[in-house]
Amino acid sequence: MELVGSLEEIVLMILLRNDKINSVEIAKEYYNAIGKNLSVPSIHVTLKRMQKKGWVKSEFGSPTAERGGRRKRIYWATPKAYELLSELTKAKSELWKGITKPSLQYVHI
Amino acid sequence: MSISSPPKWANWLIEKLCPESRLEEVQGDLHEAYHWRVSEFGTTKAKWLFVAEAVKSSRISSLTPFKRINQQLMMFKNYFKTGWRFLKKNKLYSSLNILGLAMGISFCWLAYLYADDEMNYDQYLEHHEETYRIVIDFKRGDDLHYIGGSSNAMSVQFRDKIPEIDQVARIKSDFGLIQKEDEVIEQSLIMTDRSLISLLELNFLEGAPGAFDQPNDVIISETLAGTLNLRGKAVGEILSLNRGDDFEDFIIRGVYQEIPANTSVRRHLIMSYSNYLANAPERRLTTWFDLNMNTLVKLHDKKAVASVEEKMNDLHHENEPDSEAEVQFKLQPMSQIHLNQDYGHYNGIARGGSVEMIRLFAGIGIFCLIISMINYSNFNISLYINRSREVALRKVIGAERKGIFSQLITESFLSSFIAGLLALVVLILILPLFSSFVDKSYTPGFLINYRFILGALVILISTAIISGFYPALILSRFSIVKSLKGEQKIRSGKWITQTLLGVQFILATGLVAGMLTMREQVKFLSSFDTKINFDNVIYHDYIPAEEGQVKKFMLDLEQLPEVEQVAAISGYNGTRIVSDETQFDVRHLRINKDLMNLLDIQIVDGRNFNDEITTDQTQGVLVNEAFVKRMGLENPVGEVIPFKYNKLEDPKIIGVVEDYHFESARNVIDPLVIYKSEQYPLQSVYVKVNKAATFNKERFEQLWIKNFDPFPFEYSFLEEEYLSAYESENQMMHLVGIGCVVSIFLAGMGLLGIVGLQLNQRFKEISIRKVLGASSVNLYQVFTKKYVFIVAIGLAGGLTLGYYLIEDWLGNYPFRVDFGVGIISVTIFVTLSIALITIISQVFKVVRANPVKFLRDE
Repeated sequence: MELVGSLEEIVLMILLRNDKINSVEIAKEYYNAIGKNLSVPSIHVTLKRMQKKGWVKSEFGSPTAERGGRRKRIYWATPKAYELLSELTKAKSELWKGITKPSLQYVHI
Repeated sequence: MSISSPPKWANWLIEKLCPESRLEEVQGDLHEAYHWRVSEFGTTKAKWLFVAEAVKSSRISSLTPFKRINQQLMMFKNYFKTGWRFLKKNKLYSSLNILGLAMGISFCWLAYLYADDEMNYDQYLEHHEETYRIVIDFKRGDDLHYIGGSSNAMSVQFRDKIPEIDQVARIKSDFGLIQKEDEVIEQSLIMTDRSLISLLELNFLEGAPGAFDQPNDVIISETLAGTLNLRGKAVGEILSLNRGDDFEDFIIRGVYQEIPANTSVRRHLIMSYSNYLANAPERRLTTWFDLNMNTLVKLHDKKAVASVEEKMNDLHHENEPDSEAEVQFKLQPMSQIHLNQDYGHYNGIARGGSVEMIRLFAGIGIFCLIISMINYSNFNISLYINRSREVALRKVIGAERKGIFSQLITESFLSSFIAGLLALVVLILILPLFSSFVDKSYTPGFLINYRFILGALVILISTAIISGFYPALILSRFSIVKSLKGEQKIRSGKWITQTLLGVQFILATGLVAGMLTMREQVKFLSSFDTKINFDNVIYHDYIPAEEGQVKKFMLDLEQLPEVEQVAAISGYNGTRIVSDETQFDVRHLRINKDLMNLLDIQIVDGRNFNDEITTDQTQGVLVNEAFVKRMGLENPVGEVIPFKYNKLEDPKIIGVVEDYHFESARNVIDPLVIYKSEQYPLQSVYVKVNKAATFNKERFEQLWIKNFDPFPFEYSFLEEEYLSAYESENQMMHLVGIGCVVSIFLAGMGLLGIVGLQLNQRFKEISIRKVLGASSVNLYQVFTKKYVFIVAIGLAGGLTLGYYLIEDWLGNYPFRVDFGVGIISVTIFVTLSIALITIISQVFKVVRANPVKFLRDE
C-alpha cells in the first residue's frame, strides 16, 4: 500500500465527496469541516504531487467573474485513489477498534 | 459580493514570479479565494492572506533574467558535460594538467596571502593616514644615518608647541619578569601614553584604562590574562613585575582583545608612561638629543605634514643651536613603518617585513603560475587536434565561432575550478608549514576574509581565462571541411607551443640558477673565515646584571675543571673619531682578561695587552687593520690616536690585531679600537672549555642561578651565534629552492606532455621511416633535436635572466661568490639532464613501437 500523507488524505476525501471542484472549493470545504484555514498554494502543491502519483486528474473549467475571467482548473479523484483510501480507512478503523477501553491516563480528571 | 480587490502589487508579484504554465490557475484561485475570504473573515484578513499566498506561489526561477539565462545555461550544461567527458577520456593528461594548475594556483595564493598581509600593516586603523612616527635623518660628514627614534624632550615640545598635532603617543619598550606560582615568565612591555590606546583602537573585554596616568597602571592582553589564569577576574588584580632589582606591584586596569597581528605596535603588557617619568633619570627626560624611544603623532589633518616637519626642524634648531650634524626631522606614515627597513624596528615597534622577501614570494608565485598556465595551453592545443572533428560537427550543426569559443573557455573554467578546489586543499594542508616558515601565525580561518577571497578568485578566474584563451581561439578557427577529413593541422599552434615551452624553461632555469647562487653564497658566508677560532667557545650574550655580579660569575666559572679561559666584553659600540685631518665612525670595545688569546685572534703588529704593565689597563689600545688603513698610519704601534670615549682620551696604540669579523660576514669590517679601561660595563661573557663534550649545562646553570636569579639561564655556542646571522638568507634560499623544484617539475611535466602528444601524431611517419630502414640512433637524433633546441634556447634565456636578478641580489654583499662558470655549468647540467630524460623517455616509447600496428589501417 502506498503511503498517503495526512493532508493528501483529507484533500482526497474532499475530492471523493465532490464531483470536479477546484482548489478554492477544497479550501472552503476544509474550513467548514476542520475549522482551520488551509492556504491555497499548499493545496496546489499537494494536488500537483498527487497528480504525479496518478491519484488525481484535472482539466480546465470555465472562466468566472470573480476570477477576473480566468479559467479554473478542476480536479477529481481517480478510482485508484478511491481503492487506496478505502483500504486505508479500513485499516485505520481496525486500529481504532483496539482502543475501545481507554485507560485512565487518557481521561481528563 | 464585495467591491474590494486584492492588493495590486501582490497580484503583480504573482504575474512576474509564478511559472507561466501555472499562472492562470494560481492567479484565478487566489482571486477566488480572496473574494470568498472577504465575505467569510473580512477584508483585512483576506488581503493579508492574499499577500502571503502570493509570495508562497512565487518561484525565484521564474524571474525574467533567470528565464533568459536558463536557455544559455542549458548550453553551458552541455559544454560542461562534453568538457567533463573530455577530461575523463584523457585521464593521464588531464590529471597532469589539473595537478600542475593546482600547484601553480596554490603557490600564487600563498604568495598573495603573504604579500597582502605584509603590505597592509596598520591600515585597518581608522586614523592610520593621519598617524606618523617621528624619524630623523642624521648626517655627519659623509655618513647619513636613518634613525627611527625620538626623545622625551622632543615629544613634549612638539606636543605643546605644534598646534597641528592632535595627539602624541610616546612608546618606550622594556621588559620584566612576572612570577607565576613556581615559574618566571619573561614579558616584554611598553610604557606609553593614554593616546596610544585610542590610536590602536584597543577593545576592552574587561575593565577600562581610565585616565591611565598612575605609575602603577597596567593593562594586559587577553592572551596574557589567560597565561596568568586571570581571565574574567583580572581587573583590580595586582601584577608583580621584576624589572631589574625587585618585584614591584602594578594594578591591572583592563584586559584588551588581542591586537591584530598586522599591527606595528603590539605588546601583551602596556604600562602607563608616567611610570617611566617617575623612574627615569632627569637627564633622560630633558636631554634634547637622547634618542631612546619611539613617538607616534596623530595630526588633525594629513595635509599638514610638511608644515609640521618644518616646525619640528625649527624647534630642533632652537634647542640645539650649535650642533655640527645636519639633522632632518621627518614624519613617517604609520602604514610605512612595517616595510621600511631604513628606520629600523625597535623600541616597541614590531619586527619589520622585507620588501625583498615579498618580491621574491610574488615572483616565484607568478613564475609557477605562468609555467602551469603554459602547460595547460600547450596540453590543450595538442589534445584538441583529436577533437577537431567534434568542433567541426558542432559547426555543421550550426554552432558559431563564438559558441565554440565559449565552449572551450567553459572547459578551461571547469579545469581551473577543479584545480582551484585542489589548490584549496593543498593550501590548507601546507599553511601551518608555511606559516612557521615565514614566522607568522596563519590559520585556515585567516583565509576567510573578503580581501583574500576576492584576490584568490581574481587569480583563479584570470588563470582560467588566460590559460583557456589561446587554445579556444585556435580551435574555434578550424576549417570545417579540413577537420572532418582529418587534415586539420595546427600550424600557428605548434609555433606558439614551442615558444611557450621555451618561456617555461627560461623561468625554470632562472630559478635554478638563482637557487644555486644563493646556496653558494649562504655556504660561502657560513664557512667564511672570520679569523676567529670558534672551537669550544660558549657565549653568554647581554647578561642583565651589574658588572660586579658578572665578574663574580666569571670567577665562579674559572673554578670549573673544564673551563680553560673566560673573558668578558662590553659589546661593540660606536663613536666618531674627529681630528684635523680626518673624521670617521669607529667601533670600540672594552674587554677584560685575554679575549684575543681566547678567540685565537692574531696580533699582526706590536703586542697584546700585558697585565704587568699598568698603562695597558688605562691608556693602551689595540686597533684592527681596518683602523690603521682608515687613519693612514705607517707605523701604528706607539701612535697616539684622537679617539675619545667617556674618560678615555688620546690613547696609545700598543698593537694591531688582524681584521677579524666581529659582525657577520654580510658587512665590511669597521675600524675598531679595543681597550681595557673601564669606560663601559661588561655585558657579555665568552667561556672556552677544553672540549665541547665536557660542557656540562647543569653546572653552568647552577652558577648562573647563584649569580643572576631570577633571570632565566641563557647561553649559546659562539659558532651558532654567528651562523644565526644568516637566517634570512637561509630562509630565502629555502624559498627559492622550493620554487625551483616546483617550477622544474612543472616545466618537465609540460615537456613530457607536449613531446608525448606531438609524437603521438607522428606514429605513421616514424613507422614509415622504420620500414624504410632508419636506425634507432637516427630516429632519436631526428626527434630529440627539435626539443633540445628549444630547451637550449630556454637555458640561454634563463641564464641571462638569472644573471641580472642574481647580480642585483649579490650586490648587497661585500663578500660574495661570483655568478661564474661553476654555477652556470651546474645549472645547464641539471636542467638539460631533466629535459633530456623527459624527451628521450617519450621518444623511446615511439621508437620501440611495432610499425605494423600503425600502418595496418591503410
